[in-house]
Amino acid sequence: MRSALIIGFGNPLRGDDGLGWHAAQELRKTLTGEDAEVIACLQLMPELAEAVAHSKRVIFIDAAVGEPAGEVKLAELEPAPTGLQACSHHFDVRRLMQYSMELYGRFPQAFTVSVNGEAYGFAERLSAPVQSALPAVLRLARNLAVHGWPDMAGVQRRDAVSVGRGPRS
Amino acid sequence: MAQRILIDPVTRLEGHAKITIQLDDHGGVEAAHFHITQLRGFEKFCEGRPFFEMPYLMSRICGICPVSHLLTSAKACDAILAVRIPETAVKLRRVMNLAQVIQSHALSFFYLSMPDLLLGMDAEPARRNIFGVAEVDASLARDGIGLRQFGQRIVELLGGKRIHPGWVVPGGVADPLPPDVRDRILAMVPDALSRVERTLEWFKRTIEQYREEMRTFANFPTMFMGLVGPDGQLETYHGKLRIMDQVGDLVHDQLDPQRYREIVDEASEPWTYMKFPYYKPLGYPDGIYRVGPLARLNIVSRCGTPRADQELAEFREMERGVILSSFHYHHARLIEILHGIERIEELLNEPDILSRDVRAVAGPNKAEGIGVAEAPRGTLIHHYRINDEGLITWANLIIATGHNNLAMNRGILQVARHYVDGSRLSDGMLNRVEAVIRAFDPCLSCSTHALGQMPLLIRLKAHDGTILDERRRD
Repeated sequence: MRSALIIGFGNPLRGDDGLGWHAAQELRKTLTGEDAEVIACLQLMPELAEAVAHSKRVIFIDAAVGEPAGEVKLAELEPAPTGLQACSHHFDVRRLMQYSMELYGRFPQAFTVSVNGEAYGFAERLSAPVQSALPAVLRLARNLAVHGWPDMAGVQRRDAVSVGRGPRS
Repeated sequence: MAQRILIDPVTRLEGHAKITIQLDDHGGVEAAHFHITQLRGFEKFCEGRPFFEMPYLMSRICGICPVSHLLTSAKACDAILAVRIPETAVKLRRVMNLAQVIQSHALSFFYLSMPDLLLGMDAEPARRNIFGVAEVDASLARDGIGLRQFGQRIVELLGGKRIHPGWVVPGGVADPLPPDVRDRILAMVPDALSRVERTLEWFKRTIEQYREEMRTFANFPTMFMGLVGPDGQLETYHGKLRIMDQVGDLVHDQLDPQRYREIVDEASEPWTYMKFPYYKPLGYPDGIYRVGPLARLNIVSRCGTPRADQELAEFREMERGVILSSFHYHHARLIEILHGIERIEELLNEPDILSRDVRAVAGPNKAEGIGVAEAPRGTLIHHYRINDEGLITWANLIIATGHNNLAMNRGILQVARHYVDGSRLSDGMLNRVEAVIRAFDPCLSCSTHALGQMPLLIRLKAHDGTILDERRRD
């Protein structure tokens, strides 16, 4: 079983939607296979359930809709109630985790790292606020992979918490 | 009073479509149409591009079968270069194509159709999805995941990524096969074989309960078309065209695919964006034929690998002659997965598979090129013309799903006539009309998966627009 799995997902041709994909490409350069396996993909698919189930810890990186742009948020995932339905064309993080549970009996510790995006049009670059937040995302993902939830006194792990923004340009 | 039923969109397909069923004054089904509601436009917007860009541009047509477009486009470009590509490059292209057939068939069988096959056509709609499958038989679902990963992993190892890979180029492939990649793929083979064999055993035990669907799911005489090898064996990369009629007689055999225009023409209808290819000598719409896994297994003399040939023999015992029911596309898909795994193993054990001679380099030597290969869903044709500067001036793409358009439309008419009660709609009826389309596994989106939830609304309307009945799936 691998110690950590990082899945960065999104469409790198659609501006900030590609945040997760770009982050995964960067993390691949610095993380060894012993630290974590890194997967970059356009969207979540059911077959990722096997990789999820065989990891002690999973970190998802994705863009989010919200304000202010560039804000980085962290949340821990918990098993969802049973009875989730699935559309074979669209699989979200909760469904993927639940699918792993139903097929392989495992729901590993899992986190989402998300960044509020600003622009989702046709572009291969991230917007300035999201680009500025990228180093913080990479640091956070690395720390989560190695150490798990960061020590933040008083913070409810189930809630999405803001963990900062990139430097203002 | 004439009425119309609308199914919009059709679910668990690759892409967007709707179905209309026209009722007559007595509530009987008069006509049925399968409408494709999206436009690709690739034939037009590639005009003016350098021909050598085409393989990578064309792979973007589809997120499910990008390798088919990549390969077929590269073959059309090979024809423009007028080169014979190195034998090792042919073998490596074959491996990638087979890997894609495996992952695409696994997606169709396990993700899209398994909810119907395992839970039943009349199961509660909320359960007819991959979670419902996991709940009833997690082992079967895991085998599906394993088979899809097997194909995707090979595509990734060869082409750098699972969706829209590169590596296949005009003249061959970009890089030779590293020994460690060959060994990693070969190491995955035994597990994949055991998964598909378990699934075949399960399916053969299960299909008995679908006798009525076998009888009514696009079960009618048509011709069948596909590529075959020199002695008629299953072929997915090169080969010549074979057309067989409904009683098993060969209409054409070993026909050079470069001559496809002598036998295939395309018609259009105002109610859909998908063209209707037809067999030219019989005209439109009498020239109906089918392609894809069922067609391939009907026309071939053998698969050419031991375990798949055993399964083929058993498959053919189901009928006395040509297998006409499109329900059996599912079974044919599993046999092709088995064949693909066996063939990949054979190819990777060929002595020259690690050769570094994998690309022929040349400039354009012809102004026109045609590439033909077997995609997961059937025969795929790319045909280009270039100008003196090597820029594309004209492109014609005949997508595998298009060949089946006439048969799919006739299929929903047959199912609707058998199951639809013009006065009341039921979920089971609705699902069977969709399921006959799923048996063909049409790939409609052609560029990527359709995103988002796909609600379903069926309305029974009177001729004046009054809604008589309505079923909604959110």
